[in-house]
Amino acid sequence: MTDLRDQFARLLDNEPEAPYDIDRVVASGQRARRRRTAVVAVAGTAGAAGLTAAVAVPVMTLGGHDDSVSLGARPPAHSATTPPKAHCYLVSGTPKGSKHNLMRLVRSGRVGAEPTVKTIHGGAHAHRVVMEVCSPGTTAGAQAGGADTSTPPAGPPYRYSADPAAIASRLGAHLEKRVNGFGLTITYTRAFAQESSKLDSGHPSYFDGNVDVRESNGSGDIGVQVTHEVTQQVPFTGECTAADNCTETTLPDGSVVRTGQVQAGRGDVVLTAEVHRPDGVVVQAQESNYPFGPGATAQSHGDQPLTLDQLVTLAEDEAFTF
Amino acid sequence: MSLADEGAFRAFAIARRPALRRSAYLLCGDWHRADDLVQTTLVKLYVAWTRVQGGGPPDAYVQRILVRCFLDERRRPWRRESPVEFVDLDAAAERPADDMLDLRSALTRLPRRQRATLLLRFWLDMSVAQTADALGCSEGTVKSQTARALTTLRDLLGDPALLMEESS
Repeated sequence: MTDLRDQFARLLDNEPEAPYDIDRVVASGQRARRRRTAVVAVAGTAGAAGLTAAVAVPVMTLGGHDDSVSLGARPPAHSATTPPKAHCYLVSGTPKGSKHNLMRLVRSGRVGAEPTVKTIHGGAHAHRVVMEVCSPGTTAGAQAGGADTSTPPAGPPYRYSADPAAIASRLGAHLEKRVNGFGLTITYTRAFAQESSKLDSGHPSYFDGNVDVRESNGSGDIGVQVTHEVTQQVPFTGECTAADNCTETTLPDGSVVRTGQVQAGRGDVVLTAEVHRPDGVVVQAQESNYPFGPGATAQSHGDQPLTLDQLVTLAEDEAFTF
Repeated sequence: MSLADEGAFRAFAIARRPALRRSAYLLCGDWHRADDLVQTTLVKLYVAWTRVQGGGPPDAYVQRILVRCFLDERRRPWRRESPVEFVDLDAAAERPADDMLDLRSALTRLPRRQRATLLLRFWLDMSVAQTADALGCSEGTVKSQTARALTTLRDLLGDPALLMEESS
């Protein structure tokens, strides 16, 4: 009888030297912990860490207004025709990426046409910049103080009441509806499902599904993953680096939006928009200019199915929850 | 995290990293991706370290993270294996003389969960129950996945004696 373990071991005979730097692991872990703490922080609570070159710590900028937002309840999105409420946003990323994020905020009508912009960290020639963008009538930096930062708050619990199969079905139907709403034709659907194992609590660690769509030039793919901070399955917990064209924006309700773009070779481009909500839910919307479904290799690349703004809108859709 | 906790994490990570790296390689078949997987795994472990320490030895926990990270790569297209890079199935008829290359290419043809099941059962010596816990599935699923994976490997390798599965 052939021992499979011995055969496995033979595959490892030419193991190259490991490149690991334990300090890098620890530094990444510290950043991930800070992000977890910051994302679940309630309004008025500043993150535990200072602004570093890599990650901007979200500063919740509520207060001073009657329409205060409670934990887990997001305000309705502002349309371009609705006067924006006085809010501040923190935007971080490369200078170019942050500029794009700023323009996106203006286009969304959230900060008005002439927001107040204050550079908190970095500058035009810096590797990374952090800006506070406030709608008119809001004083930048004036809303973050007064919080007790001595004890990081515990993360919101991971709760749901519906059957996981029902949740998966609802999420799948909603994704199809949204994609159709963007005027795209779906050619293949991978239904939403719990793709990984369950947590000790019995909750699925995440749900995800995706659709292939027909583009004018070929095909593309759009996928959404819904998970929770406590699952350790959060997709974008690593560094927000310039290599991934990562940008980060903190919304007034405490949600953190990250976007990224990766050139995956051979003309493959992947765009990602990820939203970490105050209630612990994390939604990642991702699109590529190439398909994944059956016969994918025989289909040509299309354009990016959605603009980055549309992808962010998809990730911010509150229907993507448990 | 306290300095003592961080010190314990560093000691654990340095001690277990080589084994984790080998397991990661057997899962994904590429040393660079294996390094990425281990990096991601250890960062996730760091985040949960305080809680993990209170729950007993973290070895099983970190192996579970590793496998889940590997399975989780499905949702990251830029990490996903491209079908065009798979070895042509028809080429299996002409087995290369090198058995190691043969096993490596055969493993790439297994679905991810079957590959992970084989690794947990036969490389990490986990029981069926432990494997089911790590993969978040039933013990019956582990047995069926193992049987299918071994059948496929036997066919691809032309080795009918390859590790006959236990009947339990």
